[in-house]
Amino acid sequence: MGDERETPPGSINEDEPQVNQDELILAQQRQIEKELGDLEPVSSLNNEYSTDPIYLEKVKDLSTKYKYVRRTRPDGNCFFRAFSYANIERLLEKKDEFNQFYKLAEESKDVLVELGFQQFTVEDFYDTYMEVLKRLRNIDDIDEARKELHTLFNEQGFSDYMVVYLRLLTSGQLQKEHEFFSCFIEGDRTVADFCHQEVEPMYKESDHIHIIAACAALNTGVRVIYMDRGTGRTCNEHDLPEGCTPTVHLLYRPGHYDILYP
Amino acid sequence: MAGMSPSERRLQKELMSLIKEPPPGVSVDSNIAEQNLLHWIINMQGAAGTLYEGESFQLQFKFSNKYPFDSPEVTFVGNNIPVHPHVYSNGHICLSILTDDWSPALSVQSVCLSIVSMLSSCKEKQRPPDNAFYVKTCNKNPKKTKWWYHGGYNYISIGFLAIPEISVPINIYRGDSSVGKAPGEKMAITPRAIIRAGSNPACGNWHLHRVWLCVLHDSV
Repeated sequence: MGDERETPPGSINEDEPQVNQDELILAQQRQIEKELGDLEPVSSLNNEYSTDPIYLEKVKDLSTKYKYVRRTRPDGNCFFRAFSYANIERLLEKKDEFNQFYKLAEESKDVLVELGFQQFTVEDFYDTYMEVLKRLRNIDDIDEARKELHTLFNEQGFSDYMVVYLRLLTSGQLQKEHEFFSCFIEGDRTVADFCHQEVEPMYKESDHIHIIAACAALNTGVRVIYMDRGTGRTCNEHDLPEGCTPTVHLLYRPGHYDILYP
Repeated sequence: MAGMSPSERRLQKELMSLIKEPPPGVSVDSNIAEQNLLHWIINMQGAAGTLYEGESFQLQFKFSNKYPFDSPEVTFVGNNIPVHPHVYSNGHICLSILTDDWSPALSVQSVCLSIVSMLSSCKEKQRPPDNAFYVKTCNKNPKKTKWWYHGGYNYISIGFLAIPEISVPINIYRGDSSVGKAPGEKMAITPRAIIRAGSNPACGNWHLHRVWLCVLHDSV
């Protein structure tokens, strides 16, 4: 590109630290090739923090409450991917609830179209979403169904469609309850603006407001365990929506969500 | 539609819908699109009662096989590039849904409608203040330009843009004057600003060499 040729005086050599940083990031990205990893013991988190006493203490606390963690690709879609996966995974064990969820999903497209989403763009994602649910519904053996879920969520042709559809459902929920949610949006953006800029595009990270709306859209409660460098030896827990009985458990470390299993 | 990839299936659907029910002032050249689904030309008429009434423009859409997850590359082409504060004379358009705010739930039709509305709301025909410099230095593909869109902020902190790797001086264009700024330094800008940085294509978007900030005169 033309503008790189005329580096302003006083700038540092382009080949030095910045490039290394880029390579590190790319290498890390390649390393985490899976959208969703296999189950790992919570203690595996220790490897990331071997020199960090605060985090080590918190991993210890976490391992008294949870056995396993499932890592997700840190691409900004992690909340949506993790939430969607963990929710369907737990429904595999409960046929009745699964069928209820299936029915809710079947009706969701019309709700989105009524809210003003373009029919044929929504359809694209809805069809794939329903196909995944249909495939899982037709498998009787729970372990087989789990395997299929894991395979589908690691195929981009399915996984990203699942992410987009949950983003659309979340956006739909926010817009349906725009009066309530408008209080949580900073600046003079409308709820619809917020949805177009922060919810519907891929790779945009999720905040509290996304989670609350996603929970409402899927009629599911989630417990988020916050693990950061803050004081205290234990991790903070938040149930969303407040007072719910959470069925999905997520580990939040600044900027990222993974799935936890009791 | 058997044998088509998901992106081709989706584009075929969009093409049919655009031929059947085109939004006012918009028509797709179906011959070109049918020859190559990844390359469309769209004719656009300036809306009545706006500064562009009576003018016609051509938009080029290029799609990758990751569409609709990847945004389309959209530029004005042909011999009439609209004179507009968000349109560079090489046809590049500064519109957030074409990069950062693109969502797979958007479509060719929604992009066309946004561009029609962008043109229609224009109060004074002029090129972006940094047109000459941008056109001389930019990549042919507008998606290679890292655009930042900021509306309604009175202050922007360059450090706040969370690009810790910036370690070169930044040139900031304020209207038509330029001032060098160090990373992290704050400056007051009014009314509305667009920050654009050329990124090194070899390193994706992580690597910024220069940030432009141009203040547009048309909005608050």
